[in-house]
Amino acid sequence: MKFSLSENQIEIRNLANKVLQDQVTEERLRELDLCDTAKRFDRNLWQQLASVGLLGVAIDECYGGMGFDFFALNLIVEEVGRSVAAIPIVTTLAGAAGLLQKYGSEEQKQQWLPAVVTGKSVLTLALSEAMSTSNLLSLATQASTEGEGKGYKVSGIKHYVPYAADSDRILLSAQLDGQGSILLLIDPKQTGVKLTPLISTHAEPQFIVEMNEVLVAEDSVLGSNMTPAQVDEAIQYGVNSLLAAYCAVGLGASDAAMRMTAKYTGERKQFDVPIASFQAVAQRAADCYIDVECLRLCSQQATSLLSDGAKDVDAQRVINDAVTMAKIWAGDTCHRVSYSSQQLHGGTGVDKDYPLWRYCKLMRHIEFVMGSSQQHLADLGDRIADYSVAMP
Amino acid sequence: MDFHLTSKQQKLREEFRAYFDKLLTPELVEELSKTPGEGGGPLYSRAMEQMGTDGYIALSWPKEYGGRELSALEQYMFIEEVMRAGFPFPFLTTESVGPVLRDNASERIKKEVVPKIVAGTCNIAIGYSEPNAGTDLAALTTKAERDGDEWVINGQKMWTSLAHVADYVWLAVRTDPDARKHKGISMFLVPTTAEGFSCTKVDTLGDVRVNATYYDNVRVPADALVGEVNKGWKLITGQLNRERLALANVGFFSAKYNDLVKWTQEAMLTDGRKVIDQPWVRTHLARIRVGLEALRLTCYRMAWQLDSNELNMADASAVKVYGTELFVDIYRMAGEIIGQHSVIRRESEDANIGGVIEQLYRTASIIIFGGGANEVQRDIIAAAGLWMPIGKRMG
Repeated sequence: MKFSLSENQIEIRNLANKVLQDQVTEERLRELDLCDTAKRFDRNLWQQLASVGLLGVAIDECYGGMGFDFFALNLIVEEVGRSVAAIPIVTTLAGAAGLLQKYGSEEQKQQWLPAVVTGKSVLTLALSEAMSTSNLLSLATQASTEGEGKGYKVSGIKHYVPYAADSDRILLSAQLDGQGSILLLIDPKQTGVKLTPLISTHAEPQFIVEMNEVLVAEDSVLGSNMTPAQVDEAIQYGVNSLLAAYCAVGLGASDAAMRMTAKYTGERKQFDVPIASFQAVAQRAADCYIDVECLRLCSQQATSLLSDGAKDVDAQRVINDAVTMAKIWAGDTCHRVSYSSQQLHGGTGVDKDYPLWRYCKLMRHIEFVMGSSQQHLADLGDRIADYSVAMP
Repeated sequence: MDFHLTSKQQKLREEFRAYFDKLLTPELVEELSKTPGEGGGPLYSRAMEQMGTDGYIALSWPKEYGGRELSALEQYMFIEEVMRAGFPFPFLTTESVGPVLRDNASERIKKEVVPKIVAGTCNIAIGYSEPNAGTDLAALTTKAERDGDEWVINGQKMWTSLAHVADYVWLAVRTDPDARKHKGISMFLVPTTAEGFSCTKVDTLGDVRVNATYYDNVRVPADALVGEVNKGWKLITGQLNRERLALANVGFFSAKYNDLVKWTQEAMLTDGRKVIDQPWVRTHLARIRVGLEALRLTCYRMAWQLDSNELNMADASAVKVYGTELFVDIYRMAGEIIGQHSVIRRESEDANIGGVIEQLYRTASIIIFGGGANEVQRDIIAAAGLWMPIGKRMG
C-alpha cells in the first residue's frame, strides 16, 4: 500500500493544473457560453494541452505519446474537473483512444493515435443507448455482415454521445447478427448517419447518433479477430475507463466547489462574524470534506487497479467492483457537495457572476452520466448475490 | 500509488488471522459474549497471558522490549485482525498508555509495570473524563497536591471503563489551579489498590459496564507522576490519532459483512425465496459494501500517513467521524435485512445472526461521542482541512 504520487505523476498533475488554471478563465468560459451548445469546445485549450504533450500522456511513445498509464491520464482529467474546462478529454482520451490503443489493429493505431496526440483528431466513444442499464453489454444497435470481407451494415441509435459533431470517428458498440457484440469506427459525416444535438444541464455538446444502414468497412472493426467474449471484455474495459474518468472529473469538481465554499464562508460576514464560525456551517462543510476524501480514495483505487489490469477472472471482478463503487461515491458526493455548496453560499451560489454554478452543473452531469448511484447499487447488489464481493 | 498489500503485509495478515483463529476457542468466545467489549473473565486473562508469552502484545514496540517494531500500517492490520476476531484487546493500554509509560515514566514504573503490559498481566483504565469535563476535557478539576515525597489526589472521574478489573488508572489531574486550562495538568499512574480509591458501577444502555471512580485523599509516591509536572496535556493528546484510527477500524465489521451476505444467501423466507432474492436487500448490502470500502481505504491511508509523517489532523478526524457514523448506519441496515430477529438478543434460545447485530447496534451509540465527540471532530476538519475560521470554542 502506498498513497503518494510518484515524481512524474506530480509533474504531470502540476503541468495540467498550470495550463488549465491559466487558460480556463472566467472570460474564456463566458465566450464559450455564447456558442451554440453543440459547438461548446475550447479548441485553443485543446491545442495548448497538445503542445505541452499532455494529450499523449497515456499513449505509447511509438505513436508520439509520453507512454504513461491511465492513472497519469486521470490526474489530468481530475484537473479538468477542477477547472470546468470544455474539452472532450474523457470521451477522446479515456474512452476512444484508450480502447484503440489496447484493442485496435496496428493500422488503426497508426491512423488515429498520432493525430489524437497532436490534437488534430477528436474521437468519441458511444456505448450508451436511451434505455441502457448500467450493463452496457446489452445493446439495441444492430450490425449485420454483408458477406465475407464486404463489411457491415449498422442500424440503431446511440444517445448522449459527447462531441460527436467535432469527432473524426465515433467508436461504437453494436449487436452483431445476434452473435454477440462488435466495436466499430464510423465517420459521423458518412451517409446514413444523422446527428441531433441534445441540450443538457451541463453545457457539454451531446448528440443522438442515428444510424440507418450505415456501411462500415472490414478494416473499421476494432479487434476483428477477437472472440465475442473478448469483445465484451473490450467493451467492459471501455465502460470502466469512462466511469473511472468521470469519477476523476467529479473529484476535481467537488473538491474545487468545496474549497470555494470554505473560502467564501470565511469571508462572508453576517451578524458581524464570518459565517464559517457558525457551527451549522462548519459541520456541513466538514461533511463535504469527508465525502470528497471517500470519493478521492475510491476513485484513485479504481483508476489504479484499472491501470494495472487483471490477470484472471477474480482480479477482473475486483476491478469492476472497485469502478462501480467509485461511481456510487461520485454520484453521492457530487449531489451532496453541490447542494451544500449552494446552500452555504446563499444567493451568491446561484448568481452567474460567481463561478459556483458551473461546478454544480458539472456535478449534476457526473451524478447521472453512465448510471446513477442507485442503478450501480442495484448492479453491485446483484454481484453480491452472485459472488459476495467479500471484504478482504 | 499502490492499493495492494505487499507480500510481507499479506503474510502478516495470514499470520495474525491464523493466530486468532487458534486463540479464540469456543469457550473463550462464550465467556466474551457475556461481557461484550470488556474481557475481564478468567479465560480472557489466560488468553492475554498467552498473547504475552507468544509475543503478540507489543508488536509495534522496540525489539528491546520484546516487540517486533511493526510500522503503524502493520500495527493497524494487527488491530484489524483483533477486531475481526472479536477479541477485546486492550489497545489503549498497549498502544496509548504503554508507550507513554515506556518513554516517560519513572524507573520504578518502567521496571514494575511496563514488563507486565508486555506480558499481558496488567490492565490499565483511562481516567480522563469527569462529570463536568467531557468534550472540554481540559476543564477537569480532580487535583493532586504535593505533600513531602507524595502526591495527594482528590476528585472524581466518570466513564472509567475497566476500572473494576484494572490494576492501575492512568489519571489526568490538575496540579496547578492557577495556570491556564491546558497548562496545569499532570499524569499519574494510580494503583487501584491505593487507599482512598473506590469505584462504583455505571450501567449503560449497551449493557457495557463502566464506572465512576473516586479519589479521596489517595496518596501516591512522587515517582507515580509520569512525565513532567504540569505537562500532562501533551501525553494525553500525543496518542489521539492512533486511538481515533482504532475506533474506526474496518475490522469491526469486515468479517461480519461476509457472514451477513452468507446468511442472506442461505436463509429462506416463508414464500420460498431466499432473503437475498429481495431486490431491496441487495441494494442494502451494496450500500454496506460501498461504505466499508471507503472506510477500508481511509483507514489504510491514515495508517500509511502515520508511517510517512504526513498525517493531517483533518484526515484523522474524518476517519473517526466517517467510520463511527458508518457503523451505526450499517448496523441499522443489517438489522433491517435480518428483520425482527435483529432485536432478539444473542443469549436467546432462537437467536441467529441477528443477535450479533442486536448487540452491535445497541452498543454503537457510544462511538459517536466517545473518543472525541463527532461535532468537535467536524470542527477540527473545518479548521484544519478547509482553513475555516470556526470561532472560539476550539480554545
